[in-house]
Amino acid sequence: MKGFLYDLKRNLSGRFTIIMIILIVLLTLAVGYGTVSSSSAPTPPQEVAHVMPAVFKTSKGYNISIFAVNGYGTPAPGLKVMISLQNSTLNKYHNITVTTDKQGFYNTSYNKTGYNLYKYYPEYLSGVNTSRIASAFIIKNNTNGTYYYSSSICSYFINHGNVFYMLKVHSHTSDVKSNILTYFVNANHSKIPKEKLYYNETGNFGSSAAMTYVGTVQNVQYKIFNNLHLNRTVNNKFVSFGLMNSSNKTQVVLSGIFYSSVKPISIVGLALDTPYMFLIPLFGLFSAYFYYGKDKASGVLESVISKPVTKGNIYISRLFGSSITFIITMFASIGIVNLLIYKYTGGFLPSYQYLFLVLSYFVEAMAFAGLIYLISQYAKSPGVILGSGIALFFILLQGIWDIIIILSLTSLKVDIAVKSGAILMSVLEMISPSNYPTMVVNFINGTLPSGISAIDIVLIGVIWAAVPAILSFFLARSRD
Amino acid sequence: MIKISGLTKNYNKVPVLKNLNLDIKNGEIVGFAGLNGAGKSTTIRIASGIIFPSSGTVTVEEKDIVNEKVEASKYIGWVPELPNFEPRGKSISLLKYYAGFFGIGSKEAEQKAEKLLKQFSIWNARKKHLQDYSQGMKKRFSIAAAMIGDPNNYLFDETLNGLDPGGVKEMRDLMLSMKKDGKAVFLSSHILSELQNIADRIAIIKNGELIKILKHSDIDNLGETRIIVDVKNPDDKIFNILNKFGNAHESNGDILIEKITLPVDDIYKINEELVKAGYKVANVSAEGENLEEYFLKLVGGSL
Repeated sequence: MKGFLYDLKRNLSGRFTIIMIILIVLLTLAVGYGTVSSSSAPTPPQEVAHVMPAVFKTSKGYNISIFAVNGYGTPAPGLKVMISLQNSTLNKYHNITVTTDKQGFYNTSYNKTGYNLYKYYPEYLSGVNTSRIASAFIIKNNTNGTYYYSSSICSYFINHGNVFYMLKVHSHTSDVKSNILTYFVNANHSKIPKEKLYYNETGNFGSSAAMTYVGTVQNVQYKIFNNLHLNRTVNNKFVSFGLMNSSNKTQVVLSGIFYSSVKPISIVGLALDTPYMFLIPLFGLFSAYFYYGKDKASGVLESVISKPVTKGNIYISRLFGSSITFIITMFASIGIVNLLIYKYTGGFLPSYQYLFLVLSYFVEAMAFAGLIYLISQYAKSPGVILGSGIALFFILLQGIWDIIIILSLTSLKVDIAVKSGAILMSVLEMISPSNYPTMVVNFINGTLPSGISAIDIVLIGVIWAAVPAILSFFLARSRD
Repeated sequence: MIKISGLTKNYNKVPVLKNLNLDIKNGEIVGFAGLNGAGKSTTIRIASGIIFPSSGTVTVEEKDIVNEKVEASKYIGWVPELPNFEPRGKSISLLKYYAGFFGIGSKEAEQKAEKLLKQFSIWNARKKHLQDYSQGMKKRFSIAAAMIGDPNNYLFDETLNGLDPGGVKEMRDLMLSMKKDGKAVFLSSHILSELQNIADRIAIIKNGELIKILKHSDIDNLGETRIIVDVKNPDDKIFNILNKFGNAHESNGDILIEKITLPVDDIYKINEELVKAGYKVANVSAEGENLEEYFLKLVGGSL
């Protein structure tokens, strides 16, 4: 179409468009970042250290072994660990601070007796111990049993002087899925015998429920299992992992949530709701005003109309210019939120949800633009168009429109607490294009009131995006 | 060639143009005179395709400006009274944009734009936004914009208003050169003397109706012709002779004969009669009304 590229370029490079795009993208980035980070609030795994101690009773005293890893399960060298050997009445104790070696280990002997309790700090943040102190058993040759210091992070099992640890650690590649570190230690510092890792989704390992094989560990002191074969079906659910020896005897079990993600669409909806509530209607209204309504009312368009082009073509060209600007802005800004979502949850929005969101905000912008196009066909001065646009913005603004509906229904004595009243309210809410994106998010979340189907949503979208624009087209062609 | 046939325009059922008929031929300058609100701009805006007629047609090179808008507009260049362009637009890109509608390629459009901007002395302002142009510069740009497609027909709507004498002369020369190139020029103006200078015909519109079309040859003998007689030795008897040719009376020392009964070409006969009667005749001449007097008398108002 002749002149279309000029109109598109003018629209995209116009001061108003650039300001709006910057505003939308920056606000989306800021609010999106705030929303997703507060949803996840992760502590950087590299700043966390987990300490896995084992204290073995010897004939001369005690062999103390420590293995420290960070939140990813990577050995934590140079960590100063505070430990204490105590007797049961606490009137005798031996406190030491040790530093782990390059492999994250610290092994030492203490040749005195009379202690039966070992205390240590199990977790460190940025090299500083947390205030929580844990106790570990002093292991003798016949010590057996499973113990936890934190039921969903770590557990250890002592089997005739052999200690099996299982630790939940972060994945380097996903914030959603966790990995498991297995660590084996005994008084002789032997390597782990052949053990197989299984899991079941019931959170009750060893029951009759089917167990899924994950992998094998053998002849090493520790191993990280970084592919636990988990998927969304166990999202935020307890599952159990267990090491079993060749006789299918369970050595150690760790139950916890190993797959956790907040629903991305909820975060996106939350992130976009506030800034877009104002920005998208303003973008639609003012874009139509600056690139069509104002030109038409002030006579700028006449200099174009006098050229070999029809009024309808000029309108279509300007409409397409704005539409493409809207769609590019929506794809970019919601794409940014999608990237944030990925960073914090490890997963993108499903592509259809991304597309629905983009389209829903596009519909909102187009609806407001369409209203300005309509007004422009009748109003003869830029002030009237602008004033009408601002009035529409306040009337149809999400929230204000809802208040208008509630007041109207109340004055008509319609009870919105009953089902029929609630449906009527939902239907009336749809009249404002400001509510359309929320409606789409609710549809994706499955929280729309019953009685409103997907076809209704699509139909409303098409009506809002197309009807004012098409009506304006016919008026633009036929009116002076 | 522009052909206006039965053109009528109503605003809210109030007629502002009534059955207007007018042709502007190629190689002709037609002036369009009328008081404010007479319908001049409405006529020109319809002819340029900006507004629609209520009835009647305007054809440009036989293309209907409403039904064949794109084709018809290829042959029209419109210069408004108050040019209004995209404020942040720049001259070259805007001219290229307009040229695109004429099917002119980008490179050729750029060359044409440069030529026109130089011709109208606004080349040096090409990097400025149009909102920073003076009114005179905008007017020059609007002429360049009208000429970018090199159409055969031009509509000038009060284009001479607000121009300094140099600008008026430039415009006059431009229109005359257009005429020379065989273009049709339709010019509405309040400056009747300019119309008188350059127009081949002047169409006079009053309350939406075309009430008179003057040819250039008519302009010199507008309205009622009167004869002025300058005699060195007048007396009362002279009126007996002169009353045979009309209504003779004295006015400011001259003798005027109004409502003359002989053709203008025969006024030498007055001279003959006076000389035969022994009067010393210094001058006998005929004069009509000037355009402004004639116009005001015709439309019944003031400029």
